[in-house]
Amino acid sequence: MPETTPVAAIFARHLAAYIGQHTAPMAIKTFAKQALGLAPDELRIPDTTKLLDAMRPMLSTLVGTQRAEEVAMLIRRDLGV
Amino acid sequence: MIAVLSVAALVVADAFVVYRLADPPSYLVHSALRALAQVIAAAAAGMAAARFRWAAEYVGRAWTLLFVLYVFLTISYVLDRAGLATPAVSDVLTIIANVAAVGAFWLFGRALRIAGLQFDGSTMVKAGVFIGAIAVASLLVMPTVVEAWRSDAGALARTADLVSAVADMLTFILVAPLLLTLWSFRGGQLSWVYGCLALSTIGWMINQAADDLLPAAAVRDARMTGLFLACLAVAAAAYSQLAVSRAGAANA
Repeated sequence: MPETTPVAAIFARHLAAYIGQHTAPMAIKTFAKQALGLAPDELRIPDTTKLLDAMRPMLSTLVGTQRAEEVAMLIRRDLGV
Repeated sequence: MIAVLSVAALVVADAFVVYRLADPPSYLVHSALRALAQVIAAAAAGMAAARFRWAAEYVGRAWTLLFVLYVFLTISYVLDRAGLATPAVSDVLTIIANVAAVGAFWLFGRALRIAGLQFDGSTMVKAGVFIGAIAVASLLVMPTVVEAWRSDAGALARTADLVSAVADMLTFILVAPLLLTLWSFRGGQLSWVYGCLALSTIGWMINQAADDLLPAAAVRDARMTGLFLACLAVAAAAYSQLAVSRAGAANA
């Protein structure tokens, strides 16, 4: 089941709850490119940890460290990582 | 919505009840309403700051500075109304409050960029929002800046007036990044935080504009509306920020 999960879509769903449906895909595109050199549709489940690490400062800045960790945990849970 | 209704209730209470009271009770109730609005803003900002461990986190630093702003505004106002404030104390409180205001809105205005994101929208629109904010800030505050600059009051009083006017101008300009952040986050929970913060600045704009742009009969109500809006919008922003930080807020 996790192998077929669209990674970018799971990230987008969780991020959009906070930063909206317009900025969430932009954030994924930006950090996927910066951290992994990948486009959103090239993201795979093994990329999850590295992408979450790259996004942690963004989330901490906007929602605080504790909530950022919780969001990361939810994304990992949904991706089965 | 609660903040908007509270503003309406306070303005109506001030305009139709307090205004009709005889002078000693009117003065007391009017002062109490103003102080209450500022205390609500200070308490809400303090709760949000505490949630983010005050200065330990970026968002906590912004809320801490807003807390400092409203605490010092409240102390200054209460001391002044009670006749306990010396001019020097008032001036120092004014300077601290205004520096905190600029710091707070600078941090909120920079949050999206610090997070590594960019404002949504074309360069033209973004430039237009900044130019609009600069124009409004200049229109509303420049006469006060010039007046403070030319004032022959004492050094501390003149400094306080200048700091206050320049801080007003800067915070009014900083409504631009707040509005762009609101637009970028539209549909997300954080849009409420930035929308309410922008509304708070608009409240201070109304308060500032009342003296210069409105007929005398409307000045008092407009100033109170602006103040209540500014204070309660900060409280609403703090509530939204706390709601975002609550566990399970985005658990899909």
